[in-house]
Amino acid sequence: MKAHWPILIVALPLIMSFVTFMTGICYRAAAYHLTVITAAFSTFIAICLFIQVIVEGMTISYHIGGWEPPWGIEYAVDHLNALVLLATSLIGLLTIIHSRKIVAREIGGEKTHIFYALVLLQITGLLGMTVTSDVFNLYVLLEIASFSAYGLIAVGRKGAEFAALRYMIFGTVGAGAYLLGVGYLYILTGSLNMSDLLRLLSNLYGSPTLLAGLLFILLGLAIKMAAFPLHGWLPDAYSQAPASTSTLLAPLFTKVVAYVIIRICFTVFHPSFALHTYPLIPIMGAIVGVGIIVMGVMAIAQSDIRRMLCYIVIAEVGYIILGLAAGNRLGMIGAILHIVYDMFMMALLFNAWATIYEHLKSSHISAWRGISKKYPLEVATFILGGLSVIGIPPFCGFFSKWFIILGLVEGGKWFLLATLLLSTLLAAVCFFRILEQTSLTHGSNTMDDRSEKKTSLSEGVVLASLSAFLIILGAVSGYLVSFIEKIPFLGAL
Amino acid sequence: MELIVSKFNYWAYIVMILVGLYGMMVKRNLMKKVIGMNIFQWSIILFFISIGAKKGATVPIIIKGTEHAVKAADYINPLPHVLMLTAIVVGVATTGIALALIILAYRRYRTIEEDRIIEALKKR
Repeated sequence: MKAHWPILIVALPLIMSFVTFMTGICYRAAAYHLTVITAAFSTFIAICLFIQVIVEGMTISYHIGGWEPPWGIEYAVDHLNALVLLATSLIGLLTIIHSRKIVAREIGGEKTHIFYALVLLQITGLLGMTVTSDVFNLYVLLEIASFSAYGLIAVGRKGAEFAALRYMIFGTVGAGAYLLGVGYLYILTGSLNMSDLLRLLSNLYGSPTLLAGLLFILLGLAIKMAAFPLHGWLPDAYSQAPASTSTLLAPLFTKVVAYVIIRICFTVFHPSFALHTYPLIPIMGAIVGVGIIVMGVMAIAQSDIRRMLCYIVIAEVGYIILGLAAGNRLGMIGAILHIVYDMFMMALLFNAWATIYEHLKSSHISAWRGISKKYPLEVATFILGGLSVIGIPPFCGFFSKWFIILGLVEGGKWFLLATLLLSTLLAAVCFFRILEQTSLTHGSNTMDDRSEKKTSLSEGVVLASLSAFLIILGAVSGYLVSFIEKIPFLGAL
Repeated sequence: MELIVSKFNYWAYIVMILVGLYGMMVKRNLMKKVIGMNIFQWSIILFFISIGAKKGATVPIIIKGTEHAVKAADYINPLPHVLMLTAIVVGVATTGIALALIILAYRRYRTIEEDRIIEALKKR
């Protein structure tokens, strides 16, 4: 059993997605419980794998069907993706628990089992993208995650189906470009396994075909992760989606794709290829650097709070690219830390937002006027998440940003450093505006209706534990950094 | 001319990709966009299939009891074709979801013209 963890973490949610759908036809109430049990089991496996990686200190390799790696598909867990797996599955679990009531209201009784089946498919895709070590398998899992995302988004309010269709057209171009890039690599090497590709490509770095292949792959992934000039689909898709969908998608999807970029650029290619031989990542960093300022300004301009958060998601993903563009160990450590920390920060922000949205039925900033007295816990957790995004010291957001800044200073990328600091300032403006609005006491007139709703216990527990995570992760960041430093490719920088 | 004739499969897929992208970006009718999307996907599938083909090679089935050693040049490469079976499934699923979304949009706005849907969305 233990030897099969790497495949089970993907296969289990996949199978349970169909089981949930089937049992849901005759017994709908079971859908939620099945989903939570599955997500909890995935988290358990992720914890086991994480511990196993710490104890053994090396890559766990799993050969599907017993076929040896270059021919068969290999799933591999190393120091890089053990961390991402754990964060992804844990946040998936917490979000599913949190959004129970919201799903029941938004999706309605007769379709909840379909919704939960899609949620499990989404988790399958995300965990699979993280764990796989085969570039074509990654494409399939990327599409599984994307398809379930289209479906989950489309059930939202008026306009959601159109936003989903747009997302789909963008996403299909992205996936197609990725597949094309994989085709180029395949023409050159005849292999699809990542470690095999690294070995075979090592004497082909002058080839223009290889450069074209990497360019297509990066283009495709940049669309999927909503890197700056290709982010057009994200604000619409995530802000028209049902609240329960955006709490699940926004923290996870873009970050997992950012992980895939790291995986492809630094473990399929030699790290210096995309950094120095052809400075693709630094160029991407410069574009994204401009982008995070634009996104900061856009975030301030929004009056809908969820839309504001969507722009912040795009800016936060940009920080990861900035860390990579620094091109040294510190920046890389910062980028990997930021993937994990940002998942938690966004999960807290979106979940707290969803709780308040359930109470107020409005996401407009004016509706949030003076609500901190009525919903102290919810507003406090939201603001706490905001402070972490800005990078206030005790919270985890500070540490990842600090490493990215150190990396940029060491690499002498002053322009990127300036954009990062300016964007931090813009994020601060965003969240202090909300802090001010929510704590205003006069003029909070809309809040005197008697139909007061209470945050349920499970929602409160999820929000409190996510807030605790932000502080704990900040406190243990030293350990995490020493864990991340064991990633093999960091030695080559 | 030499470049075009000897590598005509690549030229074919580039032209198809451009047609697909044109359809997706320029056409305002959602159905036409989806058709463009399909052409885009199929072009990549054809590209993969064409790289597996070899001149004078046969189907990659090794008959049991063959005496001589297997020469790779005698057989076409089956792997890209197998990969594309999966990609075709992905493509069909994409089309299915896209059509479902278009039906949803049509039920809500009574049109599949992008401009009119945007108008309707602005009005609310």
